[in-house]
Amino acid sequence: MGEELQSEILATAAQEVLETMFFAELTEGSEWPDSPGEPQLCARARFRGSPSGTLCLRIPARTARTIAADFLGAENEEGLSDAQVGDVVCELANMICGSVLSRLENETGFDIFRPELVSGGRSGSAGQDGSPAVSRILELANGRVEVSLRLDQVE
Amino acid sequence: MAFRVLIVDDSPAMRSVIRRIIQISGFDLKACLEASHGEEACQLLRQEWVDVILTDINMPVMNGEQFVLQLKRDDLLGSIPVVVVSTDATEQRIRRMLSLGASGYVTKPFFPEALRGELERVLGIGHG
Amino acid sequence: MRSLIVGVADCRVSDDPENALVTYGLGSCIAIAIYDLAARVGGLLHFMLPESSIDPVKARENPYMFADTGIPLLFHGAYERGAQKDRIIVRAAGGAQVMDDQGVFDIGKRNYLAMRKILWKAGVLVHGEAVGGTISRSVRLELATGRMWLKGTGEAEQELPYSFSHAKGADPWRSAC
Repeated sequence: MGEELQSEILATAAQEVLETMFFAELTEGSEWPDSPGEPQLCARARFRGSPSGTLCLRIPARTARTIAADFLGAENEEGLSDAQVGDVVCELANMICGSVLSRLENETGFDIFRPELVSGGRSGSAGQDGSPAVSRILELANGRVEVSLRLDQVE
Repeated sequence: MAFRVLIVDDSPAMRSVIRRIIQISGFDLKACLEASHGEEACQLLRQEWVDVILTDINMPVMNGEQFVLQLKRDDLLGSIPVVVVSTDATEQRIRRMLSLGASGYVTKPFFPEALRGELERVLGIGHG
Repeated sequence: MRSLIVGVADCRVSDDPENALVTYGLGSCIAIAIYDLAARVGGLLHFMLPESSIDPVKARENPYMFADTGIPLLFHGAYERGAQKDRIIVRAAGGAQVMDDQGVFDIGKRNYLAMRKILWKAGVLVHGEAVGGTISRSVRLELATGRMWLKGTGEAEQELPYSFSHAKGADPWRSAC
């Protein structure tokens, strides 16, 4: 599958999840602003199927806290624990991953491993085997989300 | 009629959202139990009865497919209606889970009303 | 039946069974209709924009213009007349994509998302909706029965029903006569 199609599927899936369960107003973003020192959360979801691969998600910590409150229905985002925010970010990655995979043509199905938070850094970097990742940035009202998809090379 | 519900999902956040939807849907909810995977759910069901189960598919230790298979092997537990709540929206997975005996299927992401509607259908709460 | 007109950025609540609450010209705006089956109290809000933070001065002058200031007032107005939150049914209409000079404008969707977020955080689910698309809509809420009627441009009037099963309180059809 071409990168352009992957990129469209990635954006569509992320938009669907963020609008439906996070009530987020979204616009297309172009680049991740250089904000050294700004805390951010990165979640990674591995999936197994035909093909296998990884979906990564990056979000500023303050944006993550806001959307976590929206997802959980909490009036006060300050009352959420870091663990709760982290779990919501992982579930966001899980849902986007599932939405992407459900759109890919596949006859054998997929299994998604539980997403995990990974230590900082650019979520859209190339995978361990050097294969390029397709990335999209979506702007939210108070921040942005970057989602990246890397399909393992078929041997 | 008061209902007892079991939510099976490895995400505490998703369990919280599902629990909230059920609570504000107007159901007469007697108890809302939770488990983070199929095996934990099976252990819970050895001690507690529920009227409906909502389960994810992708979970560690025992996934949703294995869990439903296990349930349906038991004459008593197999009679409890199961609603799958999963990110997997592929036709083959939906068909697979329904063929294993699931009574309903809701794909993530979902509007709260969609989950409410599926629960009403499965529990046989009719519209006027 | 007496029609009480709800204008743009306006809200009315009533417990008079002789009344019907009516609003017209829902393009990107959204109308939220609420009704308590037991108390026979209903309200209709017609809001234009999602968040009051974009114009706090205007929000103070007219809170019904915005979803985040108008929706709480709608519900509180109904509570003051005896409505109870767990008995209220909620229906929404509008949020269409309205073409502006530059092209399609997304304020309808933004209004819809804002409404959903506010209702979700307040612990309220929607029981019926007719939103999106491109047509302008008008709605009418009958206070005697809680029935809501909808008319889109170029379309016949149709009822927007709700689910009885989780709307606590009296059966609205039983004492409609």
